[in-house]
Amino acid sequence: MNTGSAVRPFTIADAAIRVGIVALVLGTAYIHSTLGGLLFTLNATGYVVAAAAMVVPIALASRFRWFIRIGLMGYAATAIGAWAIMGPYYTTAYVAKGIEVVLIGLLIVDFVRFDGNPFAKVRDEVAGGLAFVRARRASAAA
Amino acid sequence: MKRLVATLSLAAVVLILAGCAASAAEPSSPAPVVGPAVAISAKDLKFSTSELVAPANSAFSIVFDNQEGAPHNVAIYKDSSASQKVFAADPVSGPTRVTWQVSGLAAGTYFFRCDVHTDMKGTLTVK
Repeated sequence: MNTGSAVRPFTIADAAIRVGIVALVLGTAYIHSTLGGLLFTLNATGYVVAAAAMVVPIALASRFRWFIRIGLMGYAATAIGAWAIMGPYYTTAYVAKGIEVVLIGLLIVDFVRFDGNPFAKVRDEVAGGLAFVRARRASAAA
Repeated sequence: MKRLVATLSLAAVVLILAGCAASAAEPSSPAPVVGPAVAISAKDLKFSTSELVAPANSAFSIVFDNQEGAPHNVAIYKDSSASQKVFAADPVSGPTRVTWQVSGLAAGTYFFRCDVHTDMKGTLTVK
């Protein structure tokens, strides 16, 4: 399993959290895949892709794992919000939404353990990206 | 932090097991038909009919035959805005046949749909 975006030892607790995240993502993906219809199938596919992105051992994914976590949190939150508005409200839906709530909680824990304060991380990454763009422009102009 | 992780992990396992149990606990035997019956089925994410007729001011049954794995229900609303629900059963995964009892409705035209797949819809005429 990949060690995430931070330069620190990958502990058993880290692995347990990452496995939990993947299990929850695949759990809600499975539920959505059983509902039929294009929207639910796309939702399930998105979750499976996100689960893969959370653990794929390639440098690019590791570098931007923070972004994947935020994206997955937003994806799950959007699914919860859409369900809250449109329903339907029945047992399987409550289970799926419960999984997504716990998933968001685990993603927050994973984020904090690897990247610290999410707001500070985003601010730093945006600042870094802007500095990179400025440097590219300056070198192109020179 | 360790306690939080343990709690969240336990909750994850419970939720996933509950999901399996919820899928397995879908009703499979039809309830007895009470009063006049309205039959409708679902297959390929479509209802067998978009027009249902039921008697006014008397209880009736909806005999629903879900012929596919996707969960469906029949929910009845005052109109197509689906803002005022007058009857809704929990969605059931198929293949299965279930019977739902609906209390008497006043004469008029109602809107029905599957709450999971809202493109599955039609008109219930009560007269």
